[in-house]
Amino acid sequence: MKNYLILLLILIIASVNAQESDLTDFRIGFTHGTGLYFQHDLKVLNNEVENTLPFDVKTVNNFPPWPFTGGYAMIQIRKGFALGPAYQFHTTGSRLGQKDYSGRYYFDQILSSHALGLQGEFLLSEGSGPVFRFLIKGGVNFSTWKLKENLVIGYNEEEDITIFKAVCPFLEPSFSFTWRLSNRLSAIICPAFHIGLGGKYHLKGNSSATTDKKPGWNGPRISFNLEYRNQL
Amino acid sequence: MSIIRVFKFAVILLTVYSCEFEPFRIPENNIATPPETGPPIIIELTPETDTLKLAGPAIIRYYVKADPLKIYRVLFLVDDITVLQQEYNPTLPLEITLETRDYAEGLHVLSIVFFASTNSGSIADKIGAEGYAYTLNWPMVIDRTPVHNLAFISFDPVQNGVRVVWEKFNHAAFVNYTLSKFSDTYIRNVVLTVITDMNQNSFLDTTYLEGEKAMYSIGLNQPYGTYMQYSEYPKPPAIEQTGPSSVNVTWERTRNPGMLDYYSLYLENEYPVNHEKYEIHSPDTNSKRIDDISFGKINRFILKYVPRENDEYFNIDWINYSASEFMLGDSMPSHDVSRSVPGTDLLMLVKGSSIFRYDVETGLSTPVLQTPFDIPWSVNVAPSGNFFGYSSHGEFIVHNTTTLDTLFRLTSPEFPDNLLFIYTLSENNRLLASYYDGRLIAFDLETGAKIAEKQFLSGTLYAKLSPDGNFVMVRDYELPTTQLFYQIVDSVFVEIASLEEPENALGRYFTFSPDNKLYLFYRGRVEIRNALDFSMINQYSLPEGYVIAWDFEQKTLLVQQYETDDAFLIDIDQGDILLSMKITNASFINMKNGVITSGLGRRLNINTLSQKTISSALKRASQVNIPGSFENVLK
Repeated sequence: MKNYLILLLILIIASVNAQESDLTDFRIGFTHGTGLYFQHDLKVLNNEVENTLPFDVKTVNNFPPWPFTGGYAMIQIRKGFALGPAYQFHTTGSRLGQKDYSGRYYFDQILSSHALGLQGEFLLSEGSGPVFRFLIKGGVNFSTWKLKENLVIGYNEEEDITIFKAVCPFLEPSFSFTWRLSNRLSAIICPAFHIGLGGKYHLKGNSSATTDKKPGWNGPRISFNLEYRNQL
Repeated sequence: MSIIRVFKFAVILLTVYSCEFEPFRIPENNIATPPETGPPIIIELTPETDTLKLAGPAIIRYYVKADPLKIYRVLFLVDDITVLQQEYNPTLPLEITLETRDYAEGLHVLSIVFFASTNSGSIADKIGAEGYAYTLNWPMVIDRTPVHNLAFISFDPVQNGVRVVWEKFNHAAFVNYTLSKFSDTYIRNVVLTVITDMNQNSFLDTTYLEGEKAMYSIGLNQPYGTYMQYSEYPKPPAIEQTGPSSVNVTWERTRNPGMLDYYSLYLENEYPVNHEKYEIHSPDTNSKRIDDISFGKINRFILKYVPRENDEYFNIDWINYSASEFMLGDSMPSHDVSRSVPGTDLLMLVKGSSIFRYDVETGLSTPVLQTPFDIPWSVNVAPSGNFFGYSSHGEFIVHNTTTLDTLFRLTSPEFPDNLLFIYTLSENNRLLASYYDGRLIAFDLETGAKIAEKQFLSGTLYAKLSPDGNFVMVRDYELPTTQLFYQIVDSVFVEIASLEEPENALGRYFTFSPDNKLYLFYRGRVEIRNALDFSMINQYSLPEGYVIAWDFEQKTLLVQQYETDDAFLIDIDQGDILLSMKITNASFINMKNGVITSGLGRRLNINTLSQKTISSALKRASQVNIPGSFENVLK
């Protein structure tokens, strides 16, 4: 959290010092990508659940890479440096399940996160090829961890849903390669790595009921951005 | 496009695009559906009754054989309301305690539901949501009827014992019946059985043998309760005469041969007693031949069934017995006194206040007259048989034997009823009377006058008048016992001869024969004398015993040995033993035309006795000592 505050302070200082900034020179981008999510604690939980069940279950999903979307807006603060807010929505999950003539059972863990932060962009090279930039993004993940257990025997169904919430700061360094498609429209490929900086999950509506399990969003990502630039 | 509009567009786009992770569908596991009906199972319940009868809290035990299924839960419901649920664990006691206080008396239903898994491997099977339910509906009667003493219903004699039936107590408070037996015969008590089936209210007591005096007890939920005595009597044995002195005794075989040690047949009779005891150890044997049955007495055959377990506590006298009485010979009228009517086939029988004529040849009996006798043996028949007389209320009455006309009616103050001892009639219408006070008086029946009278010092006389009425023989019991022979001359008893009997002579009887002979009977000796001058005609020895009868027409004499029933028929003049037989003079014995009669109402034809018997009798008679003659003391 401390590091996160330092970074945010730097960005603010840079922004304040941007006497030469032109607020009309901005870009808006839409992001679509995919990423890997390391969910060690939740996989352990799946094993524990599997061991307690009186019947065998299959692992249907085990936190697979899953598409995410988002967007950002970048304002050119000065030459070679832009700053702007960014948003991404991530989700992944797992399922243990069994189904036969007598009924159905599954245990789902579904994670989703609204990642909101500030993104700083540094121009590294600009030539005939793609524009190469370094980006650093900092912010918080508004994460939801939903556990859903469902049993159907004949006409009887029982379901139990538990939802945890957490606000987790993060840093996400990345590089971007930009190809201009037209005067205002560009295509960007951006590999990144998400680094969680902590945060504790608690029951929805009861912040004091916390868990030691640590669902996280750490992992490499790659995204494809479509960007619109306001000035020529 | 303003920046605000661009953001609005972006937010809408992101909202639509941002969908939460959706897990994949679960592939179905193909497991075979188990059959709707499960395999049969075996349920064992305690108590093992079709209807559960309860008076209070009850422990119900159960066990289930359900292979290959596995029972995992048992549910108990009373009238469809769950009262208890148990996990089925065969390693623990499978039982419940069912409280009944909350239920009214009457019929309820206890349902026991056994849950068994299907073993299909499905989700529902694994979590216990799938299985077979086996429901057992058990009628349950709440019955708080209190216990009470039970009544015996019957004792039924059956093969191998006695079936004891008692009042049934088919109420919930039932625990057991205890049937016990107290036996007087064994002087001990035993518990015969303890029955836990309330519907079994009978028991076959195979230890019971006919004749046992038993006291049964039926206890309800306790060792003892109501008592009732039961004892059987054997059926009396049947006696059939199979020979002159032999009988065949038959009886019913025991119903319980396993308990019989032996049949006890006891022969009991009158003096001289000749008791015999027979033990027949074969249960299948039901008859016994007994020889040497005596004529003239009542033989009593006592039958007992003696049980096998006759230990030191056994008392045979406590066994019930049955008895049958038997008298040897053919039937004839019973009587107190019998007098032979010489020259006829008739006997004059006196019974109570009646006189009969009995024809020994035809067996016909004819009433003669009925009159209150002072003493039955006062009836006397004249030596010719033409008339007879008797004493009655101070009179001596004489009738014609044939016409029954009253010939003489002698009334005299000399006839006090209580002093008369013996009368003798003579052919010349004389009556000799001896009295207990020692008087001897001869009367003239025609005139009623005394002919002669003599007073003896002895209080007891035995005197007889000769057939012609002129001589009197007296035995004076004043010691030493003297025999006196008188002639009535004018009005005097003139002594012609006298002799003292030697010690142990024990002569008692004498009699005149119709042909004027005097027979003196001593112990083991007979003297035949001339009734006119007392001279000795003949004498012979005879077996020691009593002379109990004589028959001058058949020339026979009947002698019974002392203390035994052995008797001999003897030629009265020569002393030859003609026949040996078993006879007792327990009642009046007489002889007529070869027929021996008994006052008990039996007759025996001498001709039916075998020659073999005679031979053995002769052999025995040769061993008898003959006492010396008294000839030298004759005056």
